[in-house]
Amino acid sequence: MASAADDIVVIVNQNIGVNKMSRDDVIDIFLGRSRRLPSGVTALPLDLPSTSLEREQFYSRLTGKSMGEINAYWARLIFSGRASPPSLAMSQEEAMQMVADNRNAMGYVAKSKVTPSVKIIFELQPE
Amino acid sequence: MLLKEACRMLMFLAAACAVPVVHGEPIGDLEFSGSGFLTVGVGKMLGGTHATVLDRNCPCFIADYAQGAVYDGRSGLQWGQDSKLGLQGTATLPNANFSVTAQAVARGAHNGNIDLEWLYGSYQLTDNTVIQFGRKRLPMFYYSDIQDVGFALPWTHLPPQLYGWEMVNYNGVNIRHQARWGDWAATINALAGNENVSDSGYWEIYNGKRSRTRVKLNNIIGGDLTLARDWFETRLVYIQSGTQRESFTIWDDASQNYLPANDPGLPGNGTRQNIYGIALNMDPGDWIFRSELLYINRPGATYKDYAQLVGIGRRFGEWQLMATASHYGGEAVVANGGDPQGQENHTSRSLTLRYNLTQTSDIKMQLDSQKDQGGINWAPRYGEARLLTLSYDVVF
Repeated sequence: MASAADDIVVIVNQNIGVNKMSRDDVIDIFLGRSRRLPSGVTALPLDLPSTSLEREQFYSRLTGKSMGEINAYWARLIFSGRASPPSLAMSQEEAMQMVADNRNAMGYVAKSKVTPSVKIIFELQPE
Repeated sequence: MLLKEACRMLMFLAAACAVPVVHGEPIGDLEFSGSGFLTVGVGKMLGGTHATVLDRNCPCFIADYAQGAVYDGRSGLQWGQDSKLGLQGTATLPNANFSVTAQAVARGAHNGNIDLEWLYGSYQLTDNTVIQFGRKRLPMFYYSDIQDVGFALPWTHLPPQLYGWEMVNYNGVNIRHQARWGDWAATINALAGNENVSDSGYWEIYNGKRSRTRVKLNNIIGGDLTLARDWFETRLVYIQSGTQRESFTIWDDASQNYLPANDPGLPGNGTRQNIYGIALNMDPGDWIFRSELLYINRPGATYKDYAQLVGIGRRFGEWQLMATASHYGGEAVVANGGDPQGQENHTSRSLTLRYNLTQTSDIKMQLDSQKDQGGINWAPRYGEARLLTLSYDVVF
């Protein structure tokens, strides 16, 4: 588990061909507004479990919203058939493994957990 | 009847076993996922205009025109108007990029009877483009798609002056495309179809609880465009169709009974209508701003519709306070026989307090005040109403 002082980082596959993302790009991918990066690459976002502190910190730092508000937002997309929520990784280790194994996968983990198998393309520092 | 009861029991059992949103399970080549929503709502009429309007004892607050949900003048608590339970299931063939989605809703306003709201197939043409066909929600408003999902709404019921229309679904086809335009995320949707509704709740409000009406929308064509960037979102919509209405029986005040009727509101062979809408919504930091406008023009009819809402709110941790005003105004087309003093016109103001109990549930308390501002010849005149509602919302 990350401490509240840890950076949360967005990770991608080493071979995705993208080295950097803007905050707007990350918001669009994780809020279901787009599944395509500016470079044209399709992104498959991954969420951590709803009880995960990193998930709460990620959305709070990225959007300023609580998990209740994020879930209310996703309820709109799910029940309207407009988008599917991110796939679920059961732990940060599994998220990194899924990203390392899938060229299009994109996840978020505490910076202290990152291994060389994945690439960091966006950082969210503590508020 | 037995099947209906069994379905109702299954839906409530599913709600009782609520777990976090979207559950998936593969069976062979098919993947199944399901989710649901529940709102338990209760209201208490605090006051207003005491009168008999059609066959209702008022004061009356119209919570949902499309479903005919009206809080009336009875003493005590009223449970049915905002309560509903919905289940949505999707079967996906991942290798064929094809899925089928169905949504069924049991509403207190319909005595718990189950309506199949949506049943549509989706074919994913590309990563960003999908074509869908079947029965879907007509996307007239920003919240149309989720008008039954209380947890996704900032109110106990949608502002009725704007979200009040005679039909909410259609049968047809739509194609949706997501794109990035510079720094903006865009979603473009185009649709075509038809819809027939018999004895809709909307016309029960105007013609009596046991009135009988048939409404047809034919050759529906339209589309909507949503642009989003960070905390700002705007949505534009345009829909056109032919519209026909036949009233068979309506309440007659003079005889205090239902009589056969010929509705004078639309020409016998119907008319065209053009629907224009815009929503501007913002969520900067802890602030919430909602606004939406709708205009409907019917060149061959005696009236046009204008409706608006504006709401502002603020979050305080898991609490949220929101003030909203909504207004409906009809405009007489005198050249077509419209009566300038016979126009419908009303306003509603609300104050809503929300508390997020968990990540997937909330409770809300809302105070509504409705004011009738119709012309002197306007009927039915529901008058003023002050209503307190409480709701518990959960998604699972």
